Amino acid sequence: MSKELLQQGDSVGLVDTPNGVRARLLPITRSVIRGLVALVSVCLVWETIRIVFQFSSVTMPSAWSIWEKFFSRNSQGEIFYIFLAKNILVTGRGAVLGLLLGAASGVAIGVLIATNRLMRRAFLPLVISAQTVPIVAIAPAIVLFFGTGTLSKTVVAGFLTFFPAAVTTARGIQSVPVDSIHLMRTYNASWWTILTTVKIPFALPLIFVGLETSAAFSVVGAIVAELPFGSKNGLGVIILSSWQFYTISPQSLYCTVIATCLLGAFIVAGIRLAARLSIGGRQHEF
Amino acid sequence: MSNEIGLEAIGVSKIFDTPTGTLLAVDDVNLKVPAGEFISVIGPSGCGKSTLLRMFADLDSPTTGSLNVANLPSSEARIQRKYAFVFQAPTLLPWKSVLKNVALPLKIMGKGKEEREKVAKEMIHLVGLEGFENRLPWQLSGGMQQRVSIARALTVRPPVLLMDEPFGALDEITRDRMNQELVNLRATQHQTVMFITHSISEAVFLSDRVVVMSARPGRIIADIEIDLPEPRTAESRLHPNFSAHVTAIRGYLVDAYNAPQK
Ligand SMILES: Nc1ncnc2c1ncn2[C@@H]1O[C@H](COP(=O)(O)OP(=O)(O)O)[C@@H](O)[C@H]1O
Ligand SMILES: [Mg+2]
Repeated sequence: MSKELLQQGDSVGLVDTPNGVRARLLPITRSVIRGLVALVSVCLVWETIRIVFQFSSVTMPSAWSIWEKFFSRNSQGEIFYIFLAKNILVTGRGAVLGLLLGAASGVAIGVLIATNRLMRRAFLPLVISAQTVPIVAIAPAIVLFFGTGTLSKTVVAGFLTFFPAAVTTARGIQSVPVDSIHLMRTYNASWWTILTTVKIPFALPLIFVGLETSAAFSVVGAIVAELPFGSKNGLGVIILSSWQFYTISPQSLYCTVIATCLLGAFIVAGIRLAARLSIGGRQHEF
Repeated sequence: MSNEIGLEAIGVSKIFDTPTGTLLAVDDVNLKVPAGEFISVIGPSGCGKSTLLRMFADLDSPTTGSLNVANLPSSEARIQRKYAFVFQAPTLLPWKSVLKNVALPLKIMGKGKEEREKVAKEMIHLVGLEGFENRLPWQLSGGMQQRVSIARALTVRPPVLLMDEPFGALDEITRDRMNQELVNLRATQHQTVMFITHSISEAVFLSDRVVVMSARPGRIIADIEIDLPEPRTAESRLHPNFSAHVTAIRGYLVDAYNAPQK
């Protein structure tokens, strides 16, 4: 997409910051500060609950001991945060591939649902009832079928990410101003040209809202595919073993949960970046 | 030239199927507009003016009758891009620059980038927007946006212009100025124009001929030749015939509103 959109996008951060000091901070610096503030607040709330309800350190370990856990060595002699980072990569690969698969097929089905009445009748009930499938319950079957590798994670993550993408695409396309489509018809534009020049671009801001939700679901999907049996690596595997050893070392479960959140945040940030690059200059449109 | 047909409707009716039953929107309209004529259609809102125009544009099909545009059946005229349609809203693509919006029809026709931009710049100049090529639509006023949409319509050099209340959303001063610009544009190109409006003075100022439609079901209840000296200028509004036409059309419109509703 074009240069001018990027330039437009650059000014976005400044629009809502009339305050001179804030406007001068880099966006990165600002989000780091925001992250730290959030982290400190969560720790404060955590510690307050621990003290007020007098939970034992097994039920609810201290924030500091969780922090320390990241830097301890596990039974293989590996520092825990490095061990987590390796597993983030394993789970993350499945999540990202699943997100790509779910987003692509979701947008495609969304287009069909929005533009074709027959497809709407055929697909919409199917898509909606697919959402009620308890994916955790059938995960073992999926793993049996696709193995314990990346493929299973991609499939489950794809399944969960598909729905938000399909629904927002269909909604977005159905809300395109009808005159814009009439205009294209007066030029005798083809179905494909109308789709790519008018419908998808108009729907894009809404599609990205769906993709952000999908991004969060993708991590859940990849982890669910690691839970059943036989997986050697991945955040899901660590979560399983943390469950088993919770009474000995409850910290490792919380460390893994934090790692999972980081992975989710990273993928969501990727989607936001893509949104900014493609529709960053369009905040004045509506 | 004079026996060429710009627009023709033969026995055109349109019935809509609605959840509450059928609705007769246009009732047996017969109309012949010679090439190069400027015709305005005026009538109560909801009387079927837009429906008639959309049928000429082949965006809607008549229930009975047939329509011709530039000597071709309307469906063929659409495929051959013999007309351009101007909507009440500018209908620009908000993420594209003025230049790209104006060039859009040529892009869809598969013209090269160089030719597209050359013609688009010419049309932008014609509507007085040079210097604004790289702006985005939201950066322009309503009147300027509508000029962009007229420039876009002109890029295909259509023999026929179909305009559905194009200046309806503009303030009166801007509207008068746009009216004059439309007259000036047409002085060199002589398109056939069908122009829908709610403003009697706009219709009289612009047109060779004004037809009045009755309240739904829309049918033509008056067809008035406008007798004003050419070219139309600010002076035209002061001509005695101008106010006479306005008064006459106002009378027909009162009848139109009072017409029995089916
Ligand atoms: N697609 C449609 N389906 C059903 N009714 C319609 C449709 N389009 C227009 N109508 C009805 O037809 C009548 C004429 O509409 P329209 O041509 O837009 O009127 P005008 O442009 O004169 O204000 C209105 O009563 C409107 O509600
Ligand atoms: Mg109308």
